[in-house]
Amino acid sequence: MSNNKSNNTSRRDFLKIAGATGAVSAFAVSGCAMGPSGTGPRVVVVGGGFGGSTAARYIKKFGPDFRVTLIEPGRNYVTCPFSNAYLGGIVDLNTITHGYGGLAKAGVHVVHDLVTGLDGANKTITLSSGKTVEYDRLIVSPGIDFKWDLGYDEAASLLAPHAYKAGSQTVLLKKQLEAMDDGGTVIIAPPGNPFRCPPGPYERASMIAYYLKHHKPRSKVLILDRKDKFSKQGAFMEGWKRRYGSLIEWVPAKDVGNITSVDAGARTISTEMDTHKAGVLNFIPNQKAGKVAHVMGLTNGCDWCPVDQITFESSVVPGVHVIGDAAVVKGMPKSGNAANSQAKVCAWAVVQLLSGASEVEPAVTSNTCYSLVSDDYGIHVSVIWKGTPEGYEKTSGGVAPANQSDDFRKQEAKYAHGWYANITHDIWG
Amino acid sequence: MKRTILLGAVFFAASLATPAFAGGSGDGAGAGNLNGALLASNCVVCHGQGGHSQGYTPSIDKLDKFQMLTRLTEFKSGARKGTIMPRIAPGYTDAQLEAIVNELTGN
Repeated sequence: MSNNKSNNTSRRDFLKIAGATGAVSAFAVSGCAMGPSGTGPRVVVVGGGFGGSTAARYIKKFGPDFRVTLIEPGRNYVTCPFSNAYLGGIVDLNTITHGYGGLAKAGVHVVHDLVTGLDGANKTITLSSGKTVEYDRLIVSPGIDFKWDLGYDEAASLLAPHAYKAGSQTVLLKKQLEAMDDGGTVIIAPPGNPFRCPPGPYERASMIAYYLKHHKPRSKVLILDRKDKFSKQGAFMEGWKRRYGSLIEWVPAKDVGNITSVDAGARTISTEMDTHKAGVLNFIPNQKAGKVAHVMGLTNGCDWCPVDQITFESSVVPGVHVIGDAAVVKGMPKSGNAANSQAKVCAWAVVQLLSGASEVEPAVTSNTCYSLVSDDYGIHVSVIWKGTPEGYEKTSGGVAPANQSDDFRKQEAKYAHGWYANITHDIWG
Repeated sequence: MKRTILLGAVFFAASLATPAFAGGSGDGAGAGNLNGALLASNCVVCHGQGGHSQGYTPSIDKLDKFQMLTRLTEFKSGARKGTIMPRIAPGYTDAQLEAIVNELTGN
């Protein structure tokens, strides 16, 4: 509910024009020549990543006459999933970059702008262009932001990339890997819990090892963790041994000690006990909800956004739903597939509620996550959940079983590519 | 914890006409949600829109209702081997599997 000067100006302009013309659409007010198609309720979605783009598409699917607007500043979206495969040289940047043409074709009105404020009482948001947009229900999918700490900030990330929002950071990390001398050490410092994509840093270690094995075989990967265990740990460690021998070394938090500082220029990480010098330093900061969630007042002063577990409606601002990494969803990991699933459940709930339903039935939903250990070695974790008012209860699932044949792992690697092709087609295709 | 959905405005009725509103008879304890469109949306992330895969994962759009239900039931019981489906299928009740199959095969 931030109200800066430009918000007030926009609101004033809105009231002036709306008063003169009566019931007009928000986009007529804001001066856009084009608005969303349809005559039904207006749903505005903020954020064009896995959660937001899915929500926009599935509102149109479940309620074809709904007027759906997606607000996203970027013209393209580079996915974190498979960005590690890009680091390994297995896919190119084009494969993991998606535009919004498919959503526009599906009837979603895509607006490239940045949200600067929310007026929950009047159900409007303001944009950096000065426009005001009205909604009947708002879905926000803010993604993550970083908690800059230990001397590591945005400027430092240009020297030692976190690469945990995909795009220019990912490209920078790959260039640094390519420039590193053979025999260098790549240090990955994964974040503390909770964070986006729990297997992500460990798949990254795998894909960097894959690159090093083929191009710089005297080099190694050192993981200095802020945790004592990690996602798919047994499956990763089995895969590392089978494909890379001792190339990857993982050090748990209890042996690393407290990290006291990060020097991005010198590429060093210091602990209470030691200073580690890297050839390439990939420090991944601790995380919180994306900036727009804080700007819109959806975090209640905390790091993440509390929501109703069945409809994903914000516990802070009624009529606003929060999905994806930024939302507190008990039982689910912060993953792209979980965001996609939450978006579908939320889209269904929003269509029900705007069609007159007083309550929404809990959903049965899922998360499928593949990680690549090598080009021919994939491992999955998959979970089915049933929703309850308290969170999501697992009804089945688990990590790929241990000690499987090379053929099994190869099949899983192929299915990882299949998953990527289909989920991105589901969202942006 | 089962709650009831009350449908209001009718102009979306066609898109909402799914098995979800057939009630929750199910197959015993925890029959749960039988919303075919929403349940089947879990499948498309690997098998593609309409069951037509864009990649290496198998397309399932050519399976008829009997074939698809048999496979899912076998994955659930453990009679059929696979990489990932043996971990997914047991998460659904028999009634939910049927709702998924009805949605994906257009029944």
